[in-house]
Amino acid sequence: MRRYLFALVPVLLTALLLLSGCGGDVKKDARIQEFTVEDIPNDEGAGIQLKWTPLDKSQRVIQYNIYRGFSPDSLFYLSKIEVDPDVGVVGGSLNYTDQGFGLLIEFETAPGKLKTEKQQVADGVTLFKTIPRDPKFLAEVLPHFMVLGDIPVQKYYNQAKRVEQESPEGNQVFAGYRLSAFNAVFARLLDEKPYYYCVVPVTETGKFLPATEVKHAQATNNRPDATAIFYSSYLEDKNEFRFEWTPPQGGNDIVAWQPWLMPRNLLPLFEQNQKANATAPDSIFHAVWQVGSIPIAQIPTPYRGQVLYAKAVSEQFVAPIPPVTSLANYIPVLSYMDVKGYWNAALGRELVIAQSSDLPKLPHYEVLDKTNDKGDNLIISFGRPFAFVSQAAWKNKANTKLRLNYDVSENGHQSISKLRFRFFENDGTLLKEVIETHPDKTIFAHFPKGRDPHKDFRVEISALLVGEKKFSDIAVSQIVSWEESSSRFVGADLSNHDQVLNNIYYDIFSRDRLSDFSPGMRIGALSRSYDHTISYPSSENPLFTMVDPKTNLVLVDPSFLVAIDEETGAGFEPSLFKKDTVAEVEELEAQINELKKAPKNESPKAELERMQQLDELVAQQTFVLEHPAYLAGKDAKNDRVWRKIMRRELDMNSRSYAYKLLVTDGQGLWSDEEDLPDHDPSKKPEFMHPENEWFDTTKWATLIASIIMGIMVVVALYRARRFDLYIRPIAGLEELDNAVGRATEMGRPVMFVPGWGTLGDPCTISAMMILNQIAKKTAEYDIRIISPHVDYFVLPLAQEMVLTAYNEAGRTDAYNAEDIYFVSDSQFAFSAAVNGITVREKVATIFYMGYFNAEALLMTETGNQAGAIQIAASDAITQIPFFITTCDYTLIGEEFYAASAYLSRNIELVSMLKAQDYFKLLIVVSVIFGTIISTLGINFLLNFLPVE
Amino acid sequence: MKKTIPLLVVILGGFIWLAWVFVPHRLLQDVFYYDFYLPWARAMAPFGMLLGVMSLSMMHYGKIRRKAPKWQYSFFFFAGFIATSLAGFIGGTQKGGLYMWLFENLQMPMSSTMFSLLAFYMASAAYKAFRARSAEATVLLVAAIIVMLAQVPLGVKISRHLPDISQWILDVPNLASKRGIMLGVGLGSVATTLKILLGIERSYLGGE
Repeated sequence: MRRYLFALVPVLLTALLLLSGCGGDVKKDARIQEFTVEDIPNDEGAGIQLKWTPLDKSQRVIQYNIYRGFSPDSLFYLSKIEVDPDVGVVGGSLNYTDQGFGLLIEFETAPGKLKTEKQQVADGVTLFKTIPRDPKFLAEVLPHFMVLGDIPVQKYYNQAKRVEQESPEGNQVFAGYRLSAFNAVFARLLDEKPYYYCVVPVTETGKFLPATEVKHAQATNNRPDATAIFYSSYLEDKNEFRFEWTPPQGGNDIVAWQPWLMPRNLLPLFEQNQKANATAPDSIFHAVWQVGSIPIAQIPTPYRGQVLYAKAVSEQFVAPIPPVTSLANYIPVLSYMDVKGYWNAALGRELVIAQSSDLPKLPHYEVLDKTNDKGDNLIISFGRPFAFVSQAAWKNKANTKLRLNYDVSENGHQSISKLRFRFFENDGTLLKEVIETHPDKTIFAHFPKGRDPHKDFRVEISALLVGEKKFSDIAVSQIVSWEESSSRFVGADLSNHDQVLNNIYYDIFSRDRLSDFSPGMRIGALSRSYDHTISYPSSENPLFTMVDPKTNLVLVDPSFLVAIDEETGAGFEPSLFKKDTVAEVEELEAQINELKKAPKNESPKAELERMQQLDELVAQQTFVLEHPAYLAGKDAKNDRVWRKIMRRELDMNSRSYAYKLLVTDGQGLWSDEEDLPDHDPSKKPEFMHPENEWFDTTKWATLIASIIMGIMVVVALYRARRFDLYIRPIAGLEELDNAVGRATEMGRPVMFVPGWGTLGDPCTISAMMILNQIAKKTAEYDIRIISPHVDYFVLPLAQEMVLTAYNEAGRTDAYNAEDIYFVSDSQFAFSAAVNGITVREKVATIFYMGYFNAEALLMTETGNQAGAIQIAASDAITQIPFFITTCDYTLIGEEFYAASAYLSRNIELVSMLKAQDYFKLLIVVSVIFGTIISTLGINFLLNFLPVE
Repeated sequence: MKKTIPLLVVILGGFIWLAWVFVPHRLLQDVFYYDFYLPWARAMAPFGMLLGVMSLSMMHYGKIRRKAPKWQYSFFFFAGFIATSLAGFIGGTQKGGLYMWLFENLQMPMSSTMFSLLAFYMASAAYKAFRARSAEATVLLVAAIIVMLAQVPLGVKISRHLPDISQWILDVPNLASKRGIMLGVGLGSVATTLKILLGIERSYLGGE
């Protein structure tokens, strides 16, 4: 009968599997009907978009594979869009955008050779898997895309091979890399080239449904769209315009901006023109509204950024500006032109007319190297740290006790020791003063009886910083107003230096030594610091020039920019190969000598051009020849040393940053450092390089505690060798002998469950030490020990521990490695296995020693029901209550770690135990001392201890 | 030498990790940890898994060979292991494949079944813990009732102070005892680490 049952189970399983594969009413000829491939409108020619109607969910489609090719007969897998076959696609259509540098080859998944898809479902087209990691094939692909690779920095600098290629201009030198050196290869579509696409639905059983028709499109540079968001302000006293705007989407190639003042009566005409522009060819710009409008200025794109700022002073005005009284009759308009000369325009927000005194004020700021880091952060710190109230609520019925929650804005380098809160009525009467000795973000204030509990009040908060002796006179001021809907007070506008901070932003401009200033780090003015992460480069992204047919190496430009002269703009761009750089410098000398010779009958214009060119080359030569990196590298023994010197210089220049600050209301009213009275336009930017730290100063307390612990170990060891140290009895360990003895009497095995921990957890190590002691006893009593494991790295250690114990007991023959085995690394599979062993093997004693999660109770309850003696030990606080209720004995926390010393009575281990006790005494004294001094408002101990 | 070299490796490794905690320098945080340790650990993991699979296979093979009690169940291990491996290697591990089907329709329901048993076991454990047999157990019972009632709307109906009392129990006596245990655990961990670092504990090397 049992045999038939065994046979029946696989049959049933197979039947179930087959049934699961025959799902629903899948139509065999399902095909996507509506599929379009188009150039992305209003972009800079960066991509193509695909759109299709997904199949009905009855088709059980799990993903749509997208294939792309540069000829209509061969398409390569590009990407996929996953869908839930149970839900289908909500919304009726799917889109895919092939834009920017997309993944072309990923080395973990790309095939080695060109491979076709097993299921060919497109008519007259061969579908291939992804582009293979085959340099020969890549050579065929390169002319059709702009291709770059992602290569680890170490490989980029250390694995470059010098390759010379002949060209009409002479021999050209490249850096050659094996294709396998790259992590991935990315490709970008080329402008005006046709690309072919199709989409293949894939069902959940892996079947390809018929592909869409193959369609093609070209990525074309179009007219930018009209989505620019434009704010402007006019400073009456300075006769100056300030602009702040967000460029339109896909407007990365805009080169010129022109703000206008358009009379309000031309608004219908403007809208009419814009409507016409939406359908007109890109080269035609309908802008009749410009006839009656006033152009303000011509602004070249100042930098690439999410938000752009520019100002126009009276000298830059291209037409007379109407008097300020009539400016309200005009609406600002921003027109802009891309690199192809295509124009568009966007209507701006209302012009703000203001005085320069209305501009938001720049705070004092400083740039600091972040401490305790690996040299990858700089901090831009604004003034002093401050606190502000977030909310408050009455805590008693009489409405006299107010609990206030506040937040602290840290400035990144100064800590607040105490805070002083002064509460005022709106008429200036002082209500209460509270000193907060430990800034825990909550205070209580007692207000006078009989005061209207819903009346707003004002709070002034001043801070005493660590190291200061008295509170600063500078305080932030805030109105705390009653909010009826939530029946509580909320902190409203916060003023610092008479400026409301809630609605202004700091936009930090940054630059390294190789680029220009650009904005992008924008924060609210309630923040007092900005953490600028300057990562170490992990990879380089060189553009692929070609693939060398002889060596199959991918060839890239070997030069890289290392330094730029701040004054002349001359660059030092050495090659990866020293001799080529030296040759280039020599060639520069020859070019200079050539330019010095004036040709006969040279026209004044030609002479001017020649002299300009000569000046540039001389500047470059001087910069390179005097550059310390070049001087040091010139004597380098080999290319490796040469690159090391250049990389050091590159790191210094690319990871040194200078900053500028701009403060704005986000709506065109902004000021920057040029507005400061002491602004010096000739001042050079100050660069700062983040420094690597060798010690984390926040861990002084930890280090000192570790050293004290070490000293205590030595002291305890010294005492243990001379005196008999007392260890308090631990019931669970006292009973260990009895528990093993009971199993011996019953003739049943002992089980040791080491828990969920890995070899990296101290609790697992401790568990293994206890296993060693228990195994000694089972060896002595000649009783079987079983140990199921959840971690395959712990397993050999456990086997070794048990074997050692059996060897020491002289019972090597009784050791059975098959009783200490791996079960599963899945939580519930493991607990099911342990439960099964408990019941099947009828174990008499179970030890649970280690780290446990939710499976603990499942196992111990089963053991309990099976009548086994159970002893548990764990440092998992959440599981200890379950062990206590279901096990006979439980070792809590530290008792678990004491077990090996307790059982072995080894002097060295016991001394360790005593050292722990001494240290605990120290902690208790520290806690009592800390409580007393903190209560007295002395916080040095709190500030010294690390906060985790 | 058989024990000295491994001991030196352990002590050296231990001190590197100790330095890793105190030194934020890139040499340890990036070069050692990300460029050396992580790839090395990743490369080692599959071999460790192989160790586990071999251990389990040998145990079940031994059972079948010896015809140990209930040895027939061991065939299920081999059947499950081979079927799942084949499903994964041949059909892939993506959704829709046999491997995922096995995972979703066998492994997950079985794990959920085990997990759902926990509710009943918890009730049983709670019953054992909350029997008011002594003064301590009564305190436990009262505290548990307050905390449990405060989690449901009924608790607030009984008394609006109940959530505050519950929070106080959790924040003061409960947290104090938890921190006491955590201090002991922390010290125990440090002591275990020191024992290994200083070479006092050597039983993991196969003998004291």
